[in-house]
This record gives sequence, structure tokens and C-alpha cells, in this order.
Amino acid sequence: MLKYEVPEELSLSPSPYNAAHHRFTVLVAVLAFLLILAGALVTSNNAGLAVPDWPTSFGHLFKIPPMIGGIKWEHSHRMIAEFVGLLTIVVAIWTWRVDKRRWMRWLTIGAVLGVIFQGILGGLTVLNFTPPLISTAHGVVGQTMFCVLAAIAVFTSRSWLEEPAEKMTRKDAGPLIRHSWMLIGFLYLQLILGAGFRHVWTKWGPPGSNHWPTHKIIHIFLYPHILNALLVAGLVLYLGMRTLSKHSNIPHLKVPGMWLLILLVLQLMLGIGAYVVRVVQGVDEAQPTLALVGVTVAHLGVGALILAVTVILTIQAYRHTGEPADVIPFDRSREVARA
Amino acid sequence: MKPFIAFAIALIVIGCTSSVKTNTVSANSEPATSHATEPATSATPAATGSISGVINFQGAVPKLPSLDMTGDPMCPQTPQPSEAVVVNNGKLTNVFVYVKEGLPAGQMTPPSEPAVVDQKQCRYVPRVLGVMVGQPFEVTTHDQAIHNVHPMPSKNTQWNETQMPDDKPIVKKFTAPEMMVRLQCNQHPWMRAYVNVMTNPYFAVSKPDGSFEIKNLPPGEYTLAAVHEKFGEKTMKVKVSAQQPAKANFDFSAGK
Repeated sequence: MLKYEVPEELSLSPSPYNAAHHRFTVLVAVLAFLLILAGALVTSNNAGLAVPDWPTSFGHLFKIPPMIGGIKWEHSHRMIAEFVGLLTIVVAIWTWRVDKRRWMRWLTIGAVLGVIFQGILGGLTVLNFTPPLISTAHGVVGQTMFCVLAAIAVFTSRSWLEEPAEKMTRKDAGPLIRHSWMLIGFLYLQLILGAGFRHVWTKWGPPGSNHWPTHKIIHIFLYPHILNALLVAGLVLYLGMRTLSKHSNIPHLKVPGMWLLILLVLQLMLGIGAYVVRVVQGVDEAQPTLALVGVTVAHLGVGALILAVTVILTIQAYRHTGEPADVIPFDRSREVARA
Repeated sequence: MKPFIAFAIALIVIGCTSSVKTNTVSANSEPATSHATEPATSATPAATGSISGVINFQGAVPKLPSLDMTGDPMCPQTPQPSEAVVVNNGKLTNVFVYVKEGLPAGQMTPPSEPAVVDQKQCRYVPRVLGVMVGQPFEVTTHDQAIHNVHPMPSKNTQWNETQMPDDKPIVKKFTAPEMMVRLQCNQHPWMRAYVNVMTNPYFAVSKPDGSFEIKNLPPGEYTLAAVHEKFGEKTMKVKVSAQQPAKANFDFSAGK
């Protein structure tokens, strides 16, 4: 009988843990989060068009302009973005060299393409004078890429590469996975409404051209955002309580669940704060106040963390399901069979 | 044949007369930044009237927070007063007053002199101005700060250009009438000006003493409007005759 051996480069078997590689992916995910905050600072400071050209900055590709006024927000965002883009390429190259998992390799290629796409969206938003649709897409894709990079960091961790000590039964995993996906869906809706509100308000609202009455922007974006926040809060409470009670023996579920609850409390307070500084006090402000910038950037940042933690919880829920053959896409049955 | 020749001659004469009037308007040396220019289709000055008045402000004046310009070392480093609401002795400045209704429809010939906005001490000067469709709109700078000039119209073309210290003026033209087009600098978010793009030259901006005057209006009944960036628009009917100036005072308050 002819024995067929899978070439090493095509193997789906788990890779050995590479500490340096994993730490690097964690670093890139952290920098991607800082990039999101830097982007939020640009919008909150109404500095999206402080540098009017793209991909150059004042006609130069590498020369750093005077970091003053709105330029310091916009150009810092661009520099961090270029750095994260470069590091994402390094992650892909490094992964192709050390990781034997084919899906993992292609995931990093996807991350590179996503980061490039995100950069192009950023350029389009500048060249088209921050149109809310493109600016909102830029915000949504940015948080998606943060989640992808955070997931890559999870996939390269020791705990992912080792067989879990504890697993859920398929029956227990079902509601957790189902509600995690639901939460991701509602978080995306929340993100689109929140980003839409921010960009329409900044472009057509009081700080911008003032073409849209404030009540119209609030009715279209903010009230649905607040309503959806209740659904998100309900799902977070359910998932948090479930992981803390039913799956407390699995730290990889319990810890994200606990963080979801902590972040939810923080986010609700920041949401109320953002409403006060933006809508109640901010309509007649001649310039963005420190409170407005601080609270709105924090609200956006915590929102990004909630989305990323939910994605990680979902991934870990699949990973810790007892009957992996029944769950996709994180199907490890073939990996085990071929190991 | 003779009637046709007579008709053609009459047309030529009318055409020449119109072009003389147009030139008169274009040559008018009054800048459009502060008050109205000579109308393109007006009759002789003796046959025109004017509207003058005062913008009163009643009640408590809203206290606006000072502007913090310290984000750019090239801007004033001490707290600066806001110009969004300027009231002197009960008179409101920076109110744009214009003829909203009553004029024949259509575009009058714009003056060739530009309407100028200067950037001085990280502010736009003037804050409120009028410009006619097709009239050059010029943005100059006397600052050492880097500015980007970014009008945000809905009917005209949007643009966003950097203006470095000592750069030559940016000159543009608006192509469609539009009220209160906001001019913004994304380096300095407190910098705002309001450009009103008009089809006629019958407009004015209230001065620090609240007064305004619109000259050379053909006699007639008009709807006069006064618009302020914070307090919105008010209108009133005004009858203009060649014999005596018409008076029109507007009253604004924080409650509109």
C-alpha cells in the first residue's frame, strides 16, 4: 500500500508554540488598538481634513510636517497606520515561515489585504472631504481589522496550540456560541450607528457644515444606537453570567465573559457621558473640549474592546467545545487526525 | 424689410445700453465684503432707494466660553473671546441682511473685485460676508500658522486647500446661490466664517453698532431677511421708494 505523507508546508497539524511570534502578534494587536484611538482622536478633534492630500502629506511621502493644530492628530494617525500596516506584513511573513497551519497563513494574508483596504478607505475619506458613508466604513473596517489581529494573537498563543484541559459538551456550547454570534451582530449594528452618528454629526452637524438639523441626526442615528445598546447590554449580561456560572471551570471562557461585564458597565457610563458632552453641551461649542474628546474617544475605544473580546469569546467557545467535528469553522478534527 | 432693420437696430441699441450698465457695475469699487455693490440692472442712482436699520438684541446675552488656541504656538496663547455672538450696547453684529423676495429672478452681473476673507490671529476676518455668484472669492493670510481653507457648501463645489504662511491668496468662485456656507479650518476648529452666495448685490452685514444699509435698490416692495449664525433668520416686508430711505430694524434674542 502506497503511503502518502502530507508535505510539511501543506500540513494542517498544529504548529509548535513560538513565543516570539506570539508576542509579536500581541504587540501588533495592541498597536492596532492604539491606531483605533488615534483615529478616534482625529474625528473628535474635527481634524480629518487637516492634511488635505493623500497618500502624501503636504506633498511629501516621508517628510513629517509640523505637528501642530489638527495636523498632529491626522498625521499621527497616518504614521501609526503605516507602522501597523508594515508590522502586519511582518506578521504574515513570519507566520508563513514558522506556522504550519494553512488557514492561519491565509488568515495573515487576509489581514494584510484588510489593512491595505482600510488604508485606501482612509485615503478616500480625505480625498472626498470625509463623506460619512466612507468615514463610517473606515471606522467599521478598522475595528474589524483590530479583531482579526487580536484573533491572530489568540491563534498563536500556547493555550490555543495545546489541547484544552476542559471542554464543554456540545449541548452547553450551543447557546454560548449562538448568543456570541448574536452579540457580534448587534455590536456591528451598534458600531455602524455610532460611527454613522459621529461622522454625520461632524460633517453635516453643528461642528461641520450645519446642513442637517441636530434632531434629525439624533433621530436617525443616536436613538437607534441607544436602543440597540439595551439589546447589546442584555446579551453581554447573558453571556457574562453564563460564562461565570456555567463555564467557570474554563478560564478561556470565564475571563472574556468577566471582561465583557466590566467593559459593559464602563461603556454604559461613557455612553451617557458622550451624550452629555456631545449633544447636551457640545451643540454650541466653538471647538472640541477636552471632555468631549476624552469621553468620546474612550467610548469608541471601549466599544472596540467589547467587540474584540466578544470575538475572542466566540473563538474560544468553538475551541472548548467537546465535539469539534460538529462545529465549524474552527474545525480541528482534521488537524488531530493528521497530527 | 424696413421693420426688420428697425427691429435689429433697436436690439443693438438695447444690447449696448445693457453692456454699459454692466460695466458700471463691474467697475464699482465698493468691496462686497461689507455691504452691497451697485446693482447690475439698476436705474440711475436718483431713481433708486435704500434700506437702513439696526439689529437689536433683547434679553441676556449668551456667555460663550473663551477660545483656547494654544494647540498651535503660532496662534494667540491667551484665552480669546468667541465671535459667535457679539453684542455691543444691545446691538447685534455679524447679522447678514439681504433681499429675500421681490427682486426679478435671475443672476445679476457680479463685480470683478474679489470678496476677501483674511486669516489674522487664527481667525477669519470678516466672520460673515456676502459674495455674488461668479464673483472672485479671495482668501488671504497674515498668519504664521498653517491653515487649511475648507468651505462646506451643499450646492457649490467643496474644496480644501492648505495655505502656508506667506502663501499667495487662494481665489475661487461660487457657482450657485447658497446661504451661510461655513468656512472652516481643520487645523484650528474654532475658525469659522459664513459666506453668503447671492445672485444680486443687495445685501449688508451689521456693523459693531448693529447698523446696516443696503443701497441702490430699485423702488418696490421686498421681503428683507436678517440671518445670524446662532439665532436663525427673521424677515419683514419693506417698501422702498426713491424719495426717502426705508427703515427696517430687526429684534433678536437668545430665544430667537
